[in-house]
Amino acid sequence: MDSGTVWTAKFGNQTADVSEFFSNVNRLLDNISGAQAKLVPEHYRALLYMIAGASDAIENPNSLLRPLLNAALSFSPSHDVLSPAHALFLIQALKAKQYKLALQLLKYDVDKFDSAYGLTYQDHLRFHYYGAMVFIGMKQYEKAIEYLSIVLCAPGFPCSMVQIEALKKTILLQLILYGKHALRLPRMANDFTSHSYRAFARAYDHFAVAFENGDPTVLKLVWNQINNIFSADGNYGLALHALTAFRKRRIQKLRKTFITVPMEYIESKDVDILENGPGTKEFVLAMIQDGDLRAQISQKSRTSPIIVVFQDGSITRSHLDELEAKLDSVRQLNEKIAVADRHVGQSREYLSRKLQSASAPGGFLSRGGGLEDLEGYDDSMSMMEL
Amino acid sequence: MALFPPIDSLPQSLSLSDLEPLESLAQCAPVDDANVSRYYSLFIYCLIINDDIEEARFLLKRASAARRTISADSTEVTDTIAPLSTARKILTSLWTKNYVEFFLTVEAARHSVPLESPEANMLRTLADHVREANYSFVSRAFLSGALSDIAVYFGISEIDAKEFLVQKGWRVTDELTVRAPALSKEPTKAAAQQKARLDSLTSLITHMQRA
Repeated sequence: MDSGTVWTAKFGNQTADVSEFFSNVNRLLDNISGAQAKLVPEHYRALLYMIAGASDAIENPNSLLRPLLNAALSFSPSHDVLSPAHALFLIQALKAKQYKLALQLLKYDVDKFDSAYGLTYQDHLRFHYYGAMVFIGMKQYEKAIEYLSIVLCAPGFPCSMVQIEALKKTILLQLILYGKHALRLPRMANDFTSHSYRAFARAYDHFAVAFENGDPTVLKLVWNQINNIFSADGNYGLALHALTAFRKRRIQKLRKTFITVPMEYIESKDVDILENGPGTKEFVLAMIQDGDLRAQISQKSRTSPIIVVFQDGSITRSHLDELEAKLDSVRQLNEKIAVADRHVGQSREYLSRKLQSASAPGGFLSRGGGLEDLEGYDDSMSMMEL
Repeated sequence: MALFPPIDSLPQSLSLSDLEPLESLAQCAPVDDANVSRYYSLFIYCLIINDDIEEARFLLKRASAARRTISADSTEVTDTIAPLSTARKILTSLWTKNYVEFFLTVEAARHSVPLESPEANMLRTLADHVREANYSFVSRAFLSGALSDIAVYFGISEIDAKEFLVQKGWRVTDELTVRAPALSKEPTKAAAQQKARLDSLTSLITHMQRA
């Protein structure tokens, strides 16, 4: 009897004490490596889903989070291989509101996908989509957009509902971060799926156009028409953040015109779409406190007006720390790209495509390039089209 | 299964490393265990002191989900045991930047617990931490302003706020407005180190662009 059957049989009939069950599960998942899981992928996946089902049954998604995290991390030494545990862990972490724990998995970029582990296209989509939701919860919006872009660029016919939901969130996040949404999807996205996206996310496009237009009356009208759609999609909180971002942008725009401005003037420009937020003075002070506005308040006496003095940005230590971290991640990414470049250059698909283009008139070899010279590679085609 | 330890048996000055490992036990404890509510409230305060207010919010949601009680007519209601509801009020007032409510709630909570209890120590530390953070914000955000507007950030009276700011080098006018101390224009050692670091990062970027 193979090991996979033993796993599922042992835990499928578990009636012992719950804590003993969880402790045994913890020990088992710690000791299963990626190589073992590859031998019996369907049993490994069934085991993980049974364990997740057990924690759902006792309505305590926290109980098996750590074992699932350990299972995902121990799958490969470099932690960059997608496993059946990845998406499952993230959905349980989201249910349990354990966002910080989820970041322990998401700090590793997963860029290797092997269907021999019983993985499907949906596993790839779900992992990155749930990962984006964790980043949204932690207010790391740029990282969330990065993960959602991976979902949007995934090849597929037809497009998946996960990709539709990813697009909706991407639009709202782009409004929050940049004040506008991309007119086009990422370059690598499939044309057919791009058209499908627009059909399903029309209300979000409508909201984004009203947001970019800058007219609060129009935005309020659109909000009243479609806020129930945000609610139904589970994006109401994110849409509220977008409205707050709209209010902030109207105040931030004044910096382009003024160096100092009376608070009364800001009040005349300030618009709270839902009319349930703090007053202008409190809102401006909150923006300064959160780092959304570089300004100082000046009021020489009780009877004199409050003046807001805008300031230029200064580089702080946290900016330098962030820059250093980003440079380090770029360096690591460059190394990974170099390895992937060599790997793709030696793959059968790439070599056969090169031979085909070489045999055509004016082909690659006639220009004197070698097999690994990627300058001749036609990069107008998607890398995924094989 | 191990039982949840009594809060009074924990170290007097609690830190995150003391509280984090106990969460799995807390989730399995009985719903009406007041000891566990005390634990959650202390954990929330500790997270705020460590400037992790996001995690404090998620912890409150986890605690509320774990402590849901079922009333006689089977309608789910949120746990209303005092320590956790006080922690919720404190966290909400900080999240909405309502410092008047924050300091009032903290003061009321401190008076409702024994003087040397872990809660009293933690609440005292929490109030001091928020006051210090707010002073840093006030000195960054205000060139001058009404004493009544600034005093709310410290949760003290205008007279106490005036004394506090004067000690920090602020000037108070007769009309009870305050002016921030003038900043020194001399370059500090930290600024020089920052510039050197910025220069080295800039050269690294140039090198990577050329590579």
